[in-house]
Amino acid sequence: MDAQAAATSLQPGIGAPLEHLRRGPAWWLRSYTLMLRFDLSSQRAWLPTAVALQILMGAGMAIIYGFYIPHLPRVAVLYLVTGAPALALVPLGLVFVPTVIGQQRTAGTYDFLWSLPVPRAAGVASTLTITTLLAIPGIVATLLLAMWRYGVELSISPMVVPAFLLTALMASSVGVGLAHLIGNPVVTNLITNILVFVVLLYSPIAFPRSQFPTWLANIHEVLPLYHMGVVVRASLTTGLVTDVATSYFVLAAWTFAGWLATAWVVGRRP
Amino acid sequence: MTARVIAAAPSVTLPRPRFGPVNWLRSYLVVTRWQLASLRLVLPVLAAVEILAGVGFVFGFGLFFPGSIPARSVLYLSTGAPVITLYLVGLVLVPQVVGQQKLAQTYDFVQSLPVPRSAGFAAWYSMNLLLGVPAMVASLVAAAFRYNAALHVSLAVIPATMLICLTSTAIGYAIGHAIPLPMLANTLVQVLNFFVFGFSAVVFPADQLPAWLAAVNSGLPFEAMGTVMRAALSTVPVEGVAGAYALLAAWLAAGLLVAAAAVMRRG
Repeated sequence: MDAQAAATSLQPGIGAPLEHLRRGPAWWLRSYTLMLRFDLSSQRAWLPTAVALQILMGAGMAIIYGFYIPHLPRVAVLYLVTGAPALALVPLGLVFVPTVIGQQRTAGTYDFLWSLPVPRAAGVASTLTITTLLAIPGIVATLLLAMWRYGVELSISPMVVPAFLLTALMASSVGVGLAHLIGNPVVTNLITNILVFVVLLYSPIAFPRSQFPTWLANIHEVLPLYHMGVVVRASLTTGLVTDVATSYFVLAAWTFAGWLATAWVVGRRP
Repeated sequence: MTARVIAAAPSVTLPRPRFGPVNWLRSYLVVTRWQLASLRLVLPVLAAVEILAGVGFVFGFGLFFPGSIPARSVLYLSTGAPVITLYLVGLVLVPQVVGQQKLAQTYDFVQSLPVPRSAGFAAWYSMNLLLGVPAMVASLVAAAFRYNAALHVSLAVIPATMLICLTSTAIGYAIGHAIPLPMLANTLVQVLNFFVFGFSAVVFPADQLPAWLAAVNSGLPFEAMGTVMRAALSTVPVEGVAGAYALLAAWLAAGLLVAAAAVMRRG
């Protein structure tokens, strides 16, 4: 759109039709692609850091667990390697996304972003798209590193595509929901830092849930962390995982909860 | 009012001399009070986080093991967790606070206060001990309770604790003051934390690491911190304790030199 068209569209009385109607699927799609470009260009300095953070946490933790435990049985190694991709998603959803949004609040650009003339859902969808796709190279690299470190052969099924996509989308959605729900960036920072610590020590992602006390195992029935591990593991191995449907359902529910929380905050008018 | 003060000035005695042990001690007390007051809102939270992190690490560690934890792992965990708590506070707190001062542009003001720079360091050290020791005790109690760790506390625990805290404070002080960019200092601290947490032989024996990583570790201070603490807390014979003390002393000297160069520099 050039300057002249913009000028005429400001004077509809003269006869030129309005350039765009600000509703309908075409408008939404156009807003979405615009926001994608906007987000990509404003976050591009961060993107390599995010991938590095994921590999550091995912592959790093998989390797560290191996140092902690002197003699790993073969099944434990298999759990470790197939848990690594899910571990790599934890810092993305719990650290990276809340940090980026927290910085928008600190820098004062948060309100500006919501004032842009695009549907707010298109803005959120663009953030989720970028963080979900961003997660894929990190989790693939993590998996390859862990396989190389432990010399494990995996039987990769086509289910790896929905498994990786859903877990990444879930992590991003919960991260976005968390960041919007908690207004104060300092509080968000504190919560995410504690959560990462708790997740790395107390979640049955990289080792079997049977090693956990019953009460903790029960808590992990409803939290998404254990189910992330299950879904990823099912797509990479045969015979280790039995009940995948429940895990997919729980992950979908958490994704939806993240969207609801975001919609509630973002749709509100102060 | 002002005129009278100026007029009275000739008869007023000169201010106290700003040197000598009495001045240093007084400065130390004043800076300690200053720091306690300026951090009063975060100190309780930090103390709680420290204790939770120490105890949480001890409890969580056992979940990694498929069966019961081998006695050797219990020994390393129960004597390594106190080191992690002491080291964490020393390394993390100074760069964080100094970084915030630099961002808020109060750093130069704080550095301009008329107290010896060494008194400032001593105040930090006292505060780190105050935060680290309760967490260390809590992690020891947790290990004894959860894993029946056979600990035997000897008097050597006092120099070991003091030296571990002093060395980590000196390293943290050097990082916080010598690196001009707070973001860079914070990133370095986080990478170091991750390294100590997973890649240095503090909570597990060095022979569980690949040979090259074990070799790297033998020159860094973290494994040595584990060694002196283990020697002080158990009856199991520990090798290379004297060497570990010497290595820690060398890192302490290096940290103090770098920190001194950074805080004594005149811009």
